Amino acid sequence: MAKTDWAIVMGVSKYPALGDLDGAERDASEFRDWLLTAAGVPKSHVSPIVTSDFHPPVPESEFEAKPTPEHAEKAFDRLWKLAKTSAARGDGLRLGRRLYVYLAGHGFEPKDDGPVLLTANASREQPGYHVAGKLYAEHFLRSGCFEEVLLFMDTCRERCDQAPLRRPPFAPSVNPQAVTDGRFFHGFATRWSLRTREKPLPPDGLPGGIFTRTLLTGLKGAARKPGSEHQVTAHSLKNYLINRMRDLLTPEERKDPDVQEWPEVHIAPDAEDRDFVLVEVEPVLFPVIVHFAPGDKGKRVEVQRGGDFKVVERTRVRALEWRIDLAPDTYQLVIPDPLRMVLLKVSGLEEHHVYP
Amino acid sequence: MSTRKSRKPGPSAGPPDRIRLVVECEDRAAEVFIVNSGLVLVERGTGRAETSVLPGLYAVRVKTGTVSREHYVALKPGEESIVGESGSVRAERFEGGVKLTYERMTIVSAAPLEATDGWDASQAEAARRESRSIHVRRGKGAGVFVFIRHRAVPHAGTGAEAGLLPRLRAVLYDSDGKEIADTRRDGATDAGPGEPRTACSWSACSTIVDPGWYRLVLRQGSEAGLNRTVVACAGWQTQVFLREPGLPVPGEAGDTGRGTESTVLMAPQAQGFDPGSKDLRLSEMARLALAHRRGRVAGRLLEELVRSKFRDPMLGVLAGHLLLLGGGADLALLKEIVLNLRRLVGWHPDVEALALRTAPAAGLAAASPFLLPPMLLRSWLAVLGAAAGRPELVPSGSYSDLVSDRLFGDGLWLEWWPLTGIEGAGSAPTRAAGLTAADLRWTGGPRFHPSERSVFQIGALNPTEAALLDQLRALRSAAGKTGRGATAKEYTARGGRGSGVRGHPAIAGDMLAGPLDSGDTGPRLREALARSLGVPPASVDRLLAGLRRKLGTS
Repeated sequence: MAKTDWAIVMGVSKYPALGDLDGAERDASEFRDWLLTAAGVPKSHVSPIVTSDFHPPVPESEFEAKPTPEHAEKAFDRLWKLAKTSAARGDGLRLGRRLYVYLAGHGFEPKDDGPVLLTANASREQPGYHVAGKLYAEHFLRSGCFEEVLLFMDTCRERCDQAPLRRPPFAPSVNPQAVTDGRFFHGFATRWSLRTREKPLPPDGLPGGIFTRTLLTGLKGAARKPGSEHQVTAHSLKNYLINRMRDLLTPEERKDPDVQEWPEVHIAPDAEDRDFVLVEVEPVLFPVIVHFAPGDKGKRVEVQRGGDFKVVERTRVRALEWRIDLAPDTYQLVIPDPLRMVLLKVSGLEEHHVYP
Repeated sequence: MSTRKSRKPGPSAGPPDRIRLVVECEDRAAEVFIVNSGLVLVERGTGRAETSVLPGLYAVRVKTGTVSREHYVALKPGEESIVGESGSVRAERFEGGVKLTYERMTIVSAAPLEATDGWDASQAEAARRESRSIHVRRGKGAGVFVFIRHRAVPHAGTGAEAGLLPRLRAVLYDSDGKEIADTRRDGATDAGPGEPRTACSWSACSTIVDPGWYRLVLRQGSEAGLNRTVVACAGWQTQVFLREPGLPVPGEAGDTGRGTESTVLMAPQAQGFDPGSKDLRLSEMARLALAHRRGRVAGRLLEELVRSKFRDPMLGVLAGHLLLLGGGADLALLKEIVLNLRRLVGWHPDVEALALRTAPAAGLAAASPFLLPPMLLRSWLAVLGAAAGRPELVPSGSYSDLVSDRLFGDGLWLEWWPLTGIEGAGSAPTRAAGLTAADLRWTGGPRFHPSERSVFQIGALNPTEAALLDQLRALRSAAGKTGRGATAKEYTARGGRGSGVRGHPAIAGDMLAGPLDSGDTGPRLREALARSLGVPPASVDRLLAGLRRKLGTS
């Protein structure tokens, strides 16, 4: 089914006028890698647009910097051209099953039309150089080009009402059936008027967006639907993003009123009984290291699963480190004499060390 | 609002293997989320949430604004307990379940209310004391109290300059542009004897004024700063609290810049500020909810508002906007809020902005125009929305028109950059119909405000003019004219910023003549442009005139 999927992936790291970002291109590249491997999207169907496609040489100013909105517009135009070719053949505008749109870089929100990704040539005086991801996503869904559109935007959403909105150049094309039956997943790194955060992330300490890190970890299996080992669905991914992204922030970072600790996610259809599968995954396990105190030696320790308190691992403490592999879930570690219950959230986002 | 009827904990109401989980918060407007170990939200509420669930591990999250707390509770029949640190939550077992009670959370506020971030008992006492003093008397019947909490900034300078950083000060003007009070000159501080007034941790100024509209200007050093509305209501004291932003300081690493934190409260005039007031805290929670678009708390806030018999007008205004946030608002309830607020405070632009959002059949919509802007940005957006179809709501040349394209930031409060030729000149910005766009100069303001919020100002076209130019170009293209047409970028790129603007009068003239001059399409196009640009229709003509002037086509 992924053979008819398409993707546009854009990551902008160099902004001569706005300040460079350290992780946006890398995030986009990692998302592209996931598309080509786990998601099974054909390579010829993926349009990557990243800073290193154009630089070095280092641009002298924002006027020479790329990528620009035209690069994204060309990629979307290509899809539209293919859809029109399909329509000319009598097959309607349907191009494929799913469209992925991933955008990472500086961003803001002109009005209430969703966040936009600023391109490399944007500046504070010229915020009109951007890509309105949500508007493109909506066009390709409502026109019936795709059954599903997944939009992921790892950008800020500071509000600026008076910045001009660069609308997609498409006239409205509405397929009533597509509007009724179409499915979408819109994931935005932050909420309206707030910022998101990129920071050095485990395990290698390289910078990345916390939204993208959580997204990819979830898509690779950490966000599988409860009761299913093999499926990540729209709702399970939404729940994972909302509940786990904040774990990548320190308590101090969570206090920053300008940074949102959970993303904004919209799904259609929204009813849980109409949940849809995003990707099939292999079961994943994540390493956990429990560090005991010397006084715990000899004690019987259990790891109980949070959903039903079923014991999934147990040991009698002999060494001060106990290494186990656990599926993503919430657990409690129970140590008697005196009774201690220690929370263990296995999210896959970081190395899991427990100090009871 | 809590989604279940409140009832005392008691025997389990569900099947025998289910356990009751009750969460209560001292902060009545705190949001409560209960999530199971599969990360599925099982219950939510405002101030309180209650559910019956199967045994398991559950996350309980309580949130106010951006402050949140999370605890996990293990629900095993007869063994219910919090897993890990309990912190500021109490757990009480009862038959069939457990109740978690959350104490007040430390919320972010510029006002020195108890249980707020950066709470300082001496500042709270100072605010209480000074709000009951009178530093300036320029009228009667209403009060404006401004309290500024200054940031403690070690200065790397030497000698006499050490510690003398420019500090935030607030200057109050009336609607005629006359200066009423200046916190630095007229108010009180905690600067000791012999210390300069800038070496203080707070400054305050309490003014008695006539009821009406006032403008507060926030100044840093000698630069003209941001303006905002303050409304003084008969019998009330409007309390404006400001917490100085973190400013880049020579010698201090990193840019800690952020916009000035501020809040506005209202109290009966004789009462002054009460740091322990539950009503004021609730207003603050409403402000945080509105700032973060948490419309779900509207229901609980309105319950409290009605319960307190509308003691706090600011809570009413904020709750009204929260009610409108999600769509599908109860307009009958909004009408009741507006009527109560009008009885409480009389004329108030933010109340009248809410009236615009009630159903037309309610007959409440403001009849008089909005010559002066309201306090809240959301109120202004309501005015813009209504003005698109009723241009007379924001008349051409009114102060509201003149500031409409000078707005700053994206916070809760409506703020704008000053208009030169108006401020301090003693002229009447609202009633001086003789003012034209030609009398005004775009000040430019500081190019980059220390805060991280977006400020888009250029020397040639201001952002709204640039947006208008883009819109006109798009119109020309849509009308089938050949060529892309010049863009703002192309103008400014030639010869540097500002100097290239006049370079192509022929193209500009072609672009700027046309649709808006057409008798048939003018009003509709004007309305569409107003909506698109986020300004009142009256401002479109003014912006067009400004554009023509700058492009050398007038």
